[in-house]
Amino acid sequence: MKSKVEGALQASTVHTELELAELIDRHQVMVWRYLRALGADAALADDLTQDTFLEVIRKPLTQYSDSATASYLRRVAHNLFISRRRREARMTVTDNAEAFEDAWMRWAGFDGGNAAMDALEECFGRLTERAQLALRLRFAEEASRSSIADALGISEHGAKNLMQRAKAQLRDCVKQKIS
Amino acid sequence: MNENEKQNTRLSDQVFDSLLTEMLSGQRPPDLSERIITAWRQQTGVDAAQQASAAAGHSDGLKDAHTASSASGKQGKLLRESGKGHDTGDGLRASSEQVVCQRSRTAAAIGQQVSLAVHGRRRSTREHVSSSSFWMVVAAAAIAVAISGPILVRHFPRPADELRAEVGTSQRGEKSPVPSPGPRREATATAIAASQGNLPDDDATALNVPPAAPPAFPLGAPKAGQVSTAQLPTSGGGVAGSDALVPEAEPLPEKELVGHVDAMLVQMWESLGLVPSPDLPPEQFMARAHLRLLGQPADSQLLGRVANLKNAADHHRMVSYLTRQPDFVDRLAEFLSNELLSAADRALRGELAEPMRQEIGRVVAGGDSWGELIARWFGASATSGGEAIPPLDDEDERGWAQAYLLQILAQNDRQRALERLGGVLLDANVACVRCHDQRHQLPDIPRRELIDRQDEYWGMLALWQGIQWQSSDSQAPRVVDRQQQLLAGEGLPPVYFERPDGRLQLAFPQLPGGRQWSEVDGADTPRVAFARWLLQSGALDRAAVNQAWRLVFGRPLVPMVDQLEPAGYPQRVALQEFLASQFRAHARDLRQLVQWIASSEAMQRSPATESPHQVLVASEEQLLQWKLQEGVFAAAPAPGIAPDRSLSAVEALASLADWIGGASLSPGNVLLAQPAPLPSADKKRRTGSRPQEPSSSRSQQPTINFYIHRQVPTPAEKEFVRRLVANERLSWEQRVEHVIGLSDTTVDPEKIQQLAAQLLRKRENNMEETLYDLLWAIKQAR
Repeated sequence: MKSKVEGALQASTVHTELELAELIDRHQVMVWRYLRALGADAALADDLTQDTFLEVIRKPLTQYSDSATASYLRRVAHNLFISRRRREARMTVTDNAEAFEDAWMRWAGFDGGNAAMDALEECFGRLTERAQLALRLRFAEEASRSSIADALGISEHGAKNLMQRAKAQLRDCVKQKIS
Repeated sequence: MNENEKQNTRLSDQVFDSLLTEMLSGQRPPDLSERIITAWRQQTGVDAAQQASAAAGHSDGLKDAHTASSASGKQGKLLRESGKGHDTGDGLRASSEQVVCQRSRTAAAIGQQVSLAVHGRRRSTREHVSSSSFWMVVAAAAIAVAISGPILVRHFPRPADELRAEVGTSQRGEKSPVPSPGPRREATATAIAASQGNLPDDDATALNVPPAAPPAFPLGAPKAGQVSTAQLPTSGGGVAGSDALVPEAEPLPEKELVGHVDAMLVQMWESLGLVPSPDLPPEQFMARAHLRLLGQPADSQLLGRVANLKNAADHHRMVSYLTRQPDFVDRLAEFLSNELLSAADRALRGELAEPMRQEIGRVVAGGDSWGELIARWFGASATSGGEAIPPLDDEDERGWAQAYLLQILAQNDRQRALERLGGVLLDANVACVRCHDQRHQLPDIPRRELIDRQDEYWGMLALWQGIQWQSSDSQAPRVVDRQQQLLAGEGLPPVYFERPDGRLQLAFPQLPGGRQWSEVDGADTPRVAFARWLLQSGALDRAAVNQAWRLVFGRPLVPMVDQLEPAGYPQRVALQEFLASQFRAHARDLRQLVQWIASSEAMQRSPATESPHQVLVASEEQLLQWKLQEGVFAAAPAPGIAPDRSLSAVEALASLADWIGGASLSPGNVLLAQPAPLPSADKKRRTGSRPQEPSSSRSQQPTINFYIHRQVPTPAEKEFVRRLVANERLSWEQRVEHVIGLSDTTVDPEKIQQLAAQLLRKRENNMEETLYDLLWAIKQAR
């Protein structure tokens, strides 16, 4: 027969798992996106997202509010990312967590970037076909500027200008929508 | 665009590009729930059987939920297999939606109800990648909640006030930022214990009851003996609570008021055993006052007219005459607008300089309240004639356009803006507090700073969330206030900050001193509360005294950091408090404040030394004595130590770096003399300089054409530099930053860092000597 304490501990473990599952469900998209924005590739973002939740759940966690928890998770993710980069002796994108947090909040706000992504999809549809093609080549296929220029039949300089203008339009449009 | 702006733009682009990449590449966030939970189970040694057993021991319903969720878990696994790790586009989204549809209806329904009931809001439409295991455990949770409801209570958001009652024990006077468990927490622990079968009280500790402390992320265990500064006892009592509302003082007649100021100054000098230098003759007094108050040398005709004045009352008449001049209004307006605009980026500075200067000018000329102007610039209002003026509404475009301080705080680099404004409006060295709690060296002084702990800084920073610039194709950029919207949702979120030991700590939005913004009468948003608090707390009045004192004497009455200038500190604080209370009692009339200060005994002091030659041959004791006299305003600055008083910190450092030919007598006692630039070269190098103080007509010493840097550090300075050098955790750049932080004026940190590095090389990596040089240069720039 189990002792009372043993039973309580098991109950506590179940309870922690509930907590973890809830936490993951609420925040994994945000944490993954945040790590990608920091410069992690997809595989690293997967690993560090996992590490972030495991680190956070390692200690009892009091969740004051969703946004506070999100902010905490981002700081933990940021620290893990920086530590990983330092271990690999690679340059970090930024080790200024506050500045990056500001930039993140500007776009991703309090919903982990969902609203921005929705707005981005809508705004992207408003761009000219050539601008859409240029950005697709650049961001989806990671094509070089000269390849993009060839594909569009314009000069490299023209391709650069086209993409800059398109991104500026996108930024303004998204900003307007999410604000 | 400065470096900060460049960095902000770069980071903003980086985030935007990553979102764009996600959309265009289709590389969406994967569902990692199962993977993470599996890893967690492995890490904690919990296997599924144990889970099921534990669950079975508690509830049959829980067992059912596990069964239901197992099926769902399999579907989740299938989903992952079909997605092959990372989603390849819309496929995952479609699959995910399918899984959600196929989920056990009962479990989903229960789970959804729990989720909505507990969290009280809809899930985002994009959160399609919900974990199947989540639904599994939520179903179990639904039943578990019914059985042992209190278990989960602690994990869900609670009203902000209640949270603050528990967490916000970071009020003054407490030794630790870690709050003690409140009654609710104890009740929760008891409830958990009860739900688990009436465990004895002692066993409750085994139940993973969360600590009341904000969560801290360990980045490495603190070294032995290393104690967080947040846990150190603070000097003095908790003044802030009582300081939140300053009692009104009776306005004194000007003559009586200046008499009080003089008495306090004399008392300070006596307590330090100092004999003040002799009074300046009238024409020299006029020359000095003219230069400081009007920003230009007096003409000989005016000096001739005052040469025969004899008694002390004449000083007051001279000052009164000068403060009635339009040039005084311009000078004060320019001085204050420059101070405030040092917090703005270059573009905003250019845009706001003229309107701010004009508005300050109107307030000074009309004898209007400085406080009301500041409140208006925060888009709030003070009370006028006993009636509260409502804060700006959204439609008041003109009001928003004139909310200059909000515009500054809405910039990307809000931290820098806050740090500069902290010095100008709050009389607090906010830059230091960002990274560590202030150490107070003088235990007898009551804690008067309103922001001297990290959590206070970060709590204040969090108050400004939602104030932002908005631009669009159709409208010019303008500041908008989204605080109402944030408050209608979850409220302003708290922020995390990093403590010196590397741990993260939580800070809730709060007013300096730990007061809740919602406690301020009539304030419906944090920004309005801040503006009103600023006027009620006395901080603005103390800051105004220090600014006015700096206009008149080139440096503040009370230094921001007490460690370096401890001489007469308690008396200086008392004098500042007295002047602040009278400033407030006289409707915050800036002109009067300057007039009182400029009429005081301090303004009448002559220099302790008559010639620069004396400085060069003086003993160390004599130099220290003069430094002390100057430090507590018992003597005017010695002439010729720097022939051009407008020498900036950068220029002073550059001159040192260019010319290290002086004899270094001993570490910390450096004698340097450098030829001053020729007038033509000088003109090129100076920007926005103040005219040179005319030489004394009484002492007809030839003007020495040398910069003289005779740095004899005081014991306090030696201790400060010693600690900086001894702290191995600090890099050289951080050491330099600490000295830059002592500056009372705006300096260019990047340029100073470069010059300091250059100087360090020339001083053969002697950090101590280089830091003394830097201290000299920073003080030179006053």
